[in-house]
Amino acid sequence: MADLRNKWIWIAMAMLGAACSHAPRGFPATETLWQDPDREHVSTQPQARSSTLVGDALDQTVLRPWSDFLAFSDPLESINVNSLDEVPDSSWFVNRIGRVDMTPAEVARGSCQAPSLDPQRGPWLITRAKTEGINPGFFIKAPDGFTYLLKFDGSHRPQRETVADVIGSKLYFAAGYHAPCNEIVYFRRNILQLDPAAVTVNEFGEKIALAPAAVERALAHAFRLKTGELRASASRFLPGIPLGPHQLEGTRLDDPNDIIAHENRRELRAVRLLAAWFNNFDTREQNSLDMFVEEDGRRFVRHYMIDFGHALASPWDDRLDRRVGHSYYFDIEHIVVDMLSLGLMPRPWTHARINDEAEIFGYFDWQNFTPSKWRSVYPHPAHARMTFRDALWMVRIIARFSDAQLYAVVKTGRLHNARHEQYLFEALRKRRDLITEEYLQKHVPLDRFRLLRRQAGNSAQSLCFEDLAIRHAGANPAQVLYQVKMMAGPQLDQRLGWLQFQPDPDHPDRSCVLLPLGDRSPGYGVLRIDVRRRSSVPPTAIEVHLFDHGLPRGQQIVGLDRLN
Amino acid sequence: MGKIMFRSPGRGWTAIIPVLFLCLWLGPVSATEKRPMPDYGRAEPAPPTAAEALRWVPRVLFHPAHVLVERVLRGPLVAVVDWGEEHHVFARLKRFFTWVDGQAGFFPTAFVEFGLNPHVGFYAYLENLLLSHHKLIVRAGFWSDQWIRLAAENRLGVFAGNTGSLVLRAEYTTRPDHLFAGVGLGPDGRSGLLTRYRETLLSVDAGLESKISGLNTVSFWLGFRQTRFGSGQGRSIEEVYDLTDPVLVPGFATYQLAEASAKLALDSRSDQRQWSPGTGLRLELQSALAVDPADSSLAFVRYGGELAGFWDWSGVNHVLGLRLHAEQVSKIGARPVPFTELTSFGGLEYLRGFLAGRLRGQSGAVVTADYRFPVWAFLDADMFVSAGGVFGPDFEGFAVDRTRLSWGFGLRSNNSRDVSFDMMLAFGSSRLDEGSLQVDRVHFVLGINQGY
Repeated sequence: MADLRNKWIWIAMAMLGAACSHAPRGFPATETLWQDPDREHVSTQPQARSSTLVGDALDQTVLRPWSDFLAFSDPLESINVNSLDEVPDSSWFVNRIGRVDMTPAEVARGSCQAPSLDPQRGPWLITRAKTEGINPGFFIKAPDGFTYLLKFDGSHRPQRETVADVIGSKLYFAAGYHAPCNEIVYFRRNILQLDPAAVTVNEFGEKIALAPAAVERALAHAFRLKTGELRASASRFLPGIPLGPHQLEGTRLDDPNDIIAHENRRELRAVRLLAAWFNNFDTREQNSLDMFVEEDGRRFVRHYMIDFGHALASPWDDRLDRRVGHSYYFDIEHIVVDMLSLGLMPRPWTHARINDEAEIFGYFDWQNFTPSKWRSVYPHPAHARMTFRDALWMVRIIARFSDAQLYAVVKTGRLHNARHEQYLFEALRKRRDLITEEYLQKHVPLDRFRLLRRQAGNSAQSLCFEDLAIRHAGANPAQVLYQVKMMAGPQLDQRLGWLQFQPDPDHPDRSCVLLPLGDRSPGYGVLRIDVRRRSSVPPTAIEVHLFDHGLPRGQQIVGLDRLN
Repeated sequence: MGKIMFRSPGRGWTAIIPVLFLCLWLGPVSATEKRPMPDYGRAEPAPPTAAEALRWVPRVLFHPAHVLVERVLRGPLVAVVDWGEEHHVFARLKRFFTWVDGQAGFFPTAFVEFGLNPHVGFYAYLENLLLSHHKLIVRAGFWSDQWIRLAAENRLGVFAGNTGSLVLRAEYTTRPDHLFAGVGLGPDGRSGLLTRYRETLLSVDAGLESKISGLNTVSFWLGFRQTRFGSGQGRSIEEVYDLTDPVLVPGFATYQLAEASAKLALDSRSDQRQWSPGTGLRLELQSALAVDPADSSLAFVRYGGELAGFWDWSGVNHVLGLRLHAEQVSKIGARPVPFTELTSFGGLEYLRGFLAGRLRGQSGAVVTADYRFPVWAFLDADMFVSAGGVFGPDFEGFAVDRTRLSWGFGLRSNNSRDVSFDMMLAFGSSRLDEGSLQVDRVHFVLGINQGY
C-alpha cells in the first residue's frame, strides 16, 4: 500500500462549502442490505402464465415504445440497489463472482451440483418432444432420477447451438442469475428408448403420439462423431413447479414478493451487457422461467434465465444473421435512418464477415462489436432503462471473469475442433475487454472500496479502492490523477480539504487514502474522488459516504454514489 | 348527494361510461397483498430538476392519449394477437392456405396502382409434386366482373443441374382501364387527352430459358395471342379519338399474332452471392417476329437492347446502376402495327412516373440512373431518375429536349422474384421542350405485386 501520508495537503476550508455546485445527499447510517427479503412464504401458488412470440414482439417493438413516449416518464434509477450501489441477493439474483472469488472449476460447474448425466448408464426414456425453437430435442428420464431436456444441433452450423446453450448457462450462473444446469453430452443412439406414451404437440397445439420416425428424423440432424456418438446439450429440469416466464414489465400480480416493476430491477436492466457479451440476442420473455420452489419450509417464486441456444450467431437468413446483435429484427429507428441517409450511414453489418476458421459461429466476432450499441431480438423495456450505474454494475461483474475462468467455461462446450474452441475463447475474451474498456474509460472505474487499519492498535483508517480501468481496461496509470475532496457539515457542502495523487507504480490498480477522521466524535462525511486522465476522456467521480462511529469502531462506509 | 337515475332502459347504458373510463384509467388491480418495500438504504431523493418539473406539462397534456394507447389500443390488440397465437391461428391459416408440406399453396393478393383499378386476387403454386423440378403457378386478379386477370405458368427444370427451364404460360385478361394518350411524340399538349379502353387478351406462350453460365442466359419463345378492344371506363377512347384514323389510333380492331422471340443476357456479375449480384455489367439483346396467321399483312419485328452497369459499393446490396434501354418496332406488312404492340413506357419498369400505356411509339429510348439499398433485412429502397421518351419509326424525331424525366422512390421486399410487396411514389415530367419543366404525372403503387 502506498504511503500517501506525505501527499496530504489538507487545507481547512470551512464555510466555503456553500459555493460548492453539487451538495451530496446523505445515506442513512445503517448496515448495508445484502439480502432482499423477497423469499417470504407464499401460501397460495401463483397462476402459471404463458407468453407468445408475435404478441410480445408487436408489443415491444411498436406499442410499448409508443406508450412510453406518451407517458413522458422521468428516467428512474433501479430500485433494488443497496447503499453500496450493489444488488442484494434475492429470488432473482445471487452475488457470486461479483463479490466472492470463484475458481475456474466453480465457474465451469455453474449450477450443476449433482453428477453429470452419465452416457454409459441407460436407458434414457424419451417422454415427449421439444416443440419450440428451430432445432429438435426431447425430454428424457434418466436412471439418475432427473429429467433432462436434450437439445440437438441443426445441420446448419453444427455445435453452435449446443455450445451456446451450455456456456450461456455457466456465464449467467457465475454472474449471479439463476440458470439451469446445462451440459454437453455425447451418447450412443441405442441408449435412447421411446416411451410408448411419449407425446409431442403438432403445429396446431394438438397432442399427438411421438412416432419413432419423428425421433429418427430429429436425430438425423444431430452432430455426430465419427465413432457414431451423438452430441446434445442436456438441460436438467429445475426444481419446483413451473409458472411460465416472467413478464418484461410490471410485476406478477399474484406473487406477494414481487413488488418491484421488472423494468426497474437492476439485474434485468444490466443483463443487457451480459447478453451482449456472448450475443445472447434472444432475450425475449419466453426465455425466462419462474419456478415455485420450496426451501426451508418456505414456498416462493424463483426467477430463472433459460435457453441460451440462440446465442453467438443467428441460424436463419444471411440478411438477418449479419444484423443480429446490431439491430432489432424489425428496427424502426434503423429503417427510418437508413432510408433518410440513403443507406450511407455506416452499419456494422455491411462489412461483417464470417470467419473461415470458425464458420460455425457465423458473424459472432469482436471486430464489429460496440457494447453500448448492442441490441437484442426486439426492444426490451428493462434494457432500454439501463442507466450508466446499472451498466457499471454489470461491467464490474464481467470484468471479474478471468481468462482462466473463461477458458474453463469454453471447455464445457466440448467442441470437437480445437480451432473452434480457441476462436470462441478469443472472441469472448476480446468482447469482455471491449465491454470493460468502453464503460470503464467513460465512467468512474473505482470499485472495491474498503476500510483498513494499518496496524493492530492503531485507530487510523485508510480507504482503499481498486481502479478497474487500470486493471481491466488498459488505462495508463501514468496518465491517471485522483483528486480527493472531503466534504462535511449539516448539508455536506463544507469542503474540509483536498489532495491529489497518482497511482503507485508498484500496484497501480490499488490505492489507499489515509482518512483524516476515524478517531473523532461521531459524524458524517463524504469523500469525493475525481478521476482525471490526461487523455481526452472527461473526468469522472464517485462520492464515498462515511459515518464516523468514533472509537473503537471508527469509520463505516454507508454509501457510494457514482456520478455521471 | 344525488344518485344515478335510469330514465329509461334504452339510455341506462350511458351510466356505465364513467365506470368504464375509471376501469381503463385504473388498469388491472392486484388481488394479492404485496410485501412492504424493504429499506435499501439509498440516499435521500434529490429534489426534482428543472427538466423533471417541465416534463409535467407534456405528461399532463398527453395523459389522455397515453391512457388511450395503453388501455384501449395496446392491451386489447396484444390480447387479440396473443389469443391468435395461443390458438395457433397462424398455423391454421398456413394449413388453410398450403397443402402437402407446403408443396402447394394459395395466398390472397391485393394491389393498388393509383390511376388504374385496384385489384385483389390470389397466387397459387404447386411445387415438385408430380415431377421433380417442376412448378406450376396460377395468378388471378379481380375487380368486379369487368376486370379479370387469370394467368398460369408451368415450369419444368431441364438439362444437367437444371440449368434450363421449359416454360408454358397462358393468360386471359380483360380490363377497361387501359390507358391511351396517343402514339409517338404527338402534338404538344396531347398529354391532356388521356382516355381509357378495354383490352381483352388471350395468350399462350411456350419457351425455353437456359442458363449459359453464371448470370448469362438465353431464352427462346413461341407464342400466340388474340386481342380484342372495347370501350373503356370513364373517358373512353372513342370519345376523343377517331378510331378509324390509323395514324392517331393504329390497329384498334381485333387481331391475333403468332410470335417468335429470343433474348440473350450477358452478365458479368456473380450468381454465387446470396442476395445481391454485386458489381458488373449486363447486356441484354432481344428480338421478336410477329405475324397474324390469318392475315400476313399484319407483320412486324421488334428488337431492342439494354446496356447496364452496376456498382455495389458496400458489397451488401448498395447498388448504383446506370441503364440505357432502347427498342423499336418496325412493320414488315402493309397493315399498321396495333398501338398495343408498340413500344410502351410507363408502369413499373421504364419511366415509372407514368402509368403503363401513357407513352407509346414506334421506337423508344430511356436512360435510368438508380440507387438501390437495403433499409431492412427484407426490404430494399430504390431511388431512380430516368430520361427518355417514345418516338417515330427509326427514332424519328428523337432529340434530347423531346424527352421526359421521371424520378421517384420505392420500397420493395426482396424475398421472392415472383411475388413482392411494392410501394412506389414516382413523378413524370412534361416534355423538356415544353418550356418550364412541370410534373405531369404522379404515380403511386402499393400492394403485393405479381410478375414473372
